Amino acid sequence: MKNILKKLSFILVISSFMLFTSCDELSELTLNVPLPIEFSTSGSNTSLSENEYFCLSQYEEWRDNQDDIESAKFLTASYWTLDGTTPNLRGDVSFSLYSGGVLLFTYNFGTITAADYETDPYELMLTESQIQAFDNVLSNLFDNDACFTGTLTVNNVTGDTDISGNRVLNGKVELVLETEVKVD
Amino acid sequence: MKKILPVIFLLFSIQVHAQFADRITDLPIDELEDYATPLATWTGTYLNSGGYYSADVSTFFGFKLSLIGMMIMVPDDQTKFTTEDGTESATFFGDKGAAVPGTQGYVVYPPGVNTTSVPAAMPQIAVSTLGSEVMVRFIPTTTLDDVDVGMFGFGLKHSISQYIPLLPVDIAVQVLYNTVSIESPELDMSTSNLAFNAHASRSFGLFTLYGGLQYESTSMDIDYTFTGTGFEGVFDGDKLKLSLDGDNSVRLTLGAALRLAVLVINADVNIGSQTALVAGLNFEF
Repeated sequence: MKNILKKLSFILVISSFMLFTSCDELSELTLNVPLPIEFSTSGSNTSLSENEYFCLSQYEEWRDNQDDIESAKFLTASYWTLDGTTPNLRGDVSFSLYSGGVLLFTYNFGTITAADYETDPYELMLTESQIQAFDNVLSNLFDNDACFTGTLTVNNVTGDTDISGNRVLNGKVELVLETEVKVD
Repeated sequence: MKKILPVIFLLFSIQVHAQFADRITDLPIDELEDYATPLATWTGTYLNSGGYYSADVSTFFGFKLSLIGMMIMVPDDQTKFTTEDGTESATFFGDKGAAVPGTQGYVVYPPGVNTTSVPAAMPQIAVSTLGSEVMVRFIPTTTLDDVDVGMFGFGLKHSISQYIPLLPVDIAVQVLYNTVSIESPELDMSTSNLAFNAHASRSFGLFTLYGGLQYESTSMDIDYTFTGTGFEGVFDGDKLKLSLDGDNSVRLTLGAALRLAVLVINADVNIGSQTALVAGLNFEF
């Protein structure tokens, strides 16, 4: 009886192990990676513009998974106005994205009042062709990294000025990428 | 944090890397509750399964050593939840997490493991005498990296039919209690599972048919440090405690067993909030 018990115990343990290790294995996860790009532009002219150079690898969320990212594509994007923007600032706002000096897309917000988007963002509704241009770059990454230049432009600016006579727009465009991440 | 979910999954028999683990502590209590409730339900379905395959309880001495395997089906409506702004996002068993624009930037929700059929297994041992049975499930507290995992469960069963002569079926009642604890530097999780059932069985030669009705409850406590932004009233670094209940409350079990000398093979279906198909390999005398 002791021998039978020993053999049965062994079978049970081995069977348990097999069940525990042969079950559905998750091969990849879908992770959304936000890429916030902050702009601070000021001047006394009726046009304001600021360029921001950024690379995917400068974002911790991307960097943490960089070696395991199998694909990435654009998901969504929005704009927020940040603190320090001069009061009543209004103008024709646009956001452009460049890769290697090549324009991927320009998105025109139309005429907006900056203060309207301090807590409720302005969602950038990109067209299919704009998304495709961005996705083409994301599908051909080298070492799972790429660098871009974002440009925020405001034309026909009106509004109050600061004590230096400048109008200031501090804003943020946040792009969100949907990535497929390989599970180790 | 990246170690906690692999341990949960190891414990619950899924292998997964936890790239999304960081995101879980980004959620405030209300959102985490929606995300984790199906996991609590799954835990209860898992731990409250396999309690019996016969209502016949030895009045002299009995012993059982069992390996229980199961497949738990998570219904589609438990794979997603609606966030505060109305967007759908994955629960623990879902697929894609949402990206919801908040007041300071996007709130990015964790993805799920994207599976609705989850296998699991557990060993258990039971002894019986005088028409009563004590069952024990036990995994000693084990440290994996810096995560401590432990499980303990027991069941008490008592034959009712022994008091009713000439009854054509065996009838018994049973209470089950199981607890699992997982402790890590970033997140502590514990579950308590209580079940009470009445079941009946009838043997036909080598075969036994059995069935029962079980009331059960699962509570899960999660202590964690909030790491997210963009939610009102809660800030990065806040210590939060979530207590939630699984959706499992009543289950119907129907099954059959085949006795081959000291070996008993059984299979049953458990119909409840999540359906479990259970099979057991039992050494019994």
